[in-house]
Amino acid sequence: MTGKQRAYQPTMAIGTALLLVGLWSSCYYPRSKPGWEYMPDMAHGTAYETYSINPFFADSMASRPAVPRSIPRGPYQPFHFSKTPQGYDSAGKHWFMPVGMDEEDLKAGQHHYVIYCAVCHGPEGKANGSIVENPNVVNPYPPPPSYFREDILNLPEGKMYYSIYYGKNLMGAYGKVLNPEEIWQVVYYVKSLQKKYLDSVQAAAASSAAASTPKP
Amino acid sequence: MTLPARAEVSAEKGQKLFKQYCASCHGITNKMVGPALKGITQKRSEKWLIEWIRNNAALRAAGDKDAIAIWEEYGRNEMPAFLSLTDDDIRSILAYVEQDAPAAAAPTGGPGAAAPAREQPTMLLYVIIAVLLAIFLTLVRANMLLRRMTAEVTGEPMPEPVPWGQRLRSPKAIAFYSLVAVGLLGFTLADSAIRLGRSKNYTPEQPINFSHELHAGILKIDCRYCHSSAEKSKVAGIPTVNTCMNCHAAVQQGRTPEGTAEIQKIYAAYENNRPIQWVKIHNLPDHVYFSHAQHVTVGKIACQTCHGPVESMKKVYQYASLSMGWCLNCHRQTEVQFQDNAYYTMFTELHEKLKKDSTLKVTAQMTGGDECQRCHY
Repeated sequence: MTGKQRAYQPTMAIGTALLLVGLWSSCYYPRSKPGWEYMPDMAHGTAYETYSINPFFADSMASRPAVPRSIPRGPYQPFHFSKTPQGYDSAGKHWFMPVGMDEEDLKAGQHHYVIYCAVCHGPEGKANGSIVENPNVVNPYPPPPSYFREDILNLPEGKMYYSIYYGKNLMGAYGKVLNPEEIWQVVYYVKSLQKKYLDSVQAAAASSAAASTPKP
Repeated sequence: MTLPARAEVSAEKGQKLFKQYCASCHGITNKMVGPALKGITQKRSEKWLIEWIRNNAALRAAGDKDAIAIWEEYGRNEMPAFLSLTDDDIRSILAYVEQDAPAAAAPTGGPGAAAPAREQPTMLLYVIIAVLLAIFLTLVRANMLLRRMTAEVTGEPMPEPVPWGQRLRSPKAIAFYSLVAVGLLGFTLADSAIRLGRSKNYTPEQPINFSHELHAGILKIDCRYCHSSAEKSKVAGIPTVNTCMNCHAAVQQGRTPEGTAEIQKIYAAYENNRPIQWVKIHNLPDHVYFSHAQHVTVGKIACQTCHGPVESMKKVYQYASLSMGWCLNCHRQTEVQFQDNAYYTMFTELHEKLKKDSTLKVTAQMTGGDECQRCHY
């Protein structure tokens, strides 16, 4: 072994650096940006996207509210009752479910109920939805009245419709996400839950009466 | 026998009754639809409270000034009559309300407290790697020793050890480096080229640090509660501030102070009547037509198929590549629910085939799902 000093050769250092950079860049790219595009022909339209900013309007929103007094396509039924306690009372007296609701409506009602109502009112209407009774939640949502409380059992269908359409107390309005037909389907489903409950209470009362009568 | 009657009044029973009858409108310390109830027994007499709670309309009709005043104060919003509640029931409720203990909201063990600290699987991996490395080094050392010993026995001269510096610079080594470099750079190039125009894993900062993990995962709110147009429209729908307020009118406290601050942003938007400018993550090129309604309502595809496990995402990212190959793969492989689906009744030929061969799997491709004009028109 000679003790000769060798001249510094940068090849190694550069090679290693290149390797490391390659390794790093192959795994890392900024995730807060959508990334690069190559010739995005026709990828971006000139029209305003659904929820984009549109400077044409004063509030610069591309999605516009419906023109006042316009009528939607599809099932439509005007709801004339005002959002007042008087409107609530008169809806209870004068607003009725369409006749001829059937199994299909019940199924559809359950479908909407599970999406919009069950989070609070519970899958069976026992006021035990996943945001009301949930062991993993520190501040649970205040419980709604159970469907099987005496005053709710006697609630007229018009008042139920009003409550879904306008919201009631803490409950929000669902008249904009459910059309009239769907609201009636939900009311129909809730009524069926109540009927099932009343039937089960009656059956229990009948069986306990039957059990107590033959007692000597 | 007055004993049972007295025993009927208890805060415990009151808690149950409060939850059943009062809690949907009244908080104990916070004002909701009706006033907060803490301290109510100091403000009003028990007799008045019992009358009011049982039938406040009758009390108002009788001309009670306090009753009319409170009715006016809360916008003439009527509190229902609770005729079925006995005096003792109402006394129990009042006892519960005036209890020293804070509201029923006292958490029974925080959300994180119950979860045991899980063993990190990566730790085990490191241990295995360390053990394997140790075995490898020992074997190399043993190999060297054995070679030296055989050299001593046979009397062959030991080959002169090549210094490490020279070894690392040998043509073999340089060839190896080049190979690795070409491989890595090639991979990087190909990977970046594939990523062009796609944005998988795109995780933008949102104006509100909204956690889908909490809302969809823990609270189990259905995706379509907020994204309500997914079943009916081309777009899944970004919820309006009103949708947030459905719950957050009452839920004003987050799990952490930071969370509470985030909730405040909803109120700011609500009061200024300005929409929250959420950042859209899943973008398709304009020359592709995609409809959520077609996939969700007709195809009965779960949201997670394309959007990934959103219910466990603290921050939403783009899960799928949204490339055309990805679309077509799914169209070719996914069996559609063909029977009892009103949308597919028009595919008479397929229905005939299905009658002859019940094992036939109908994919989206068979209903024209891989034709160009299906999405590009």
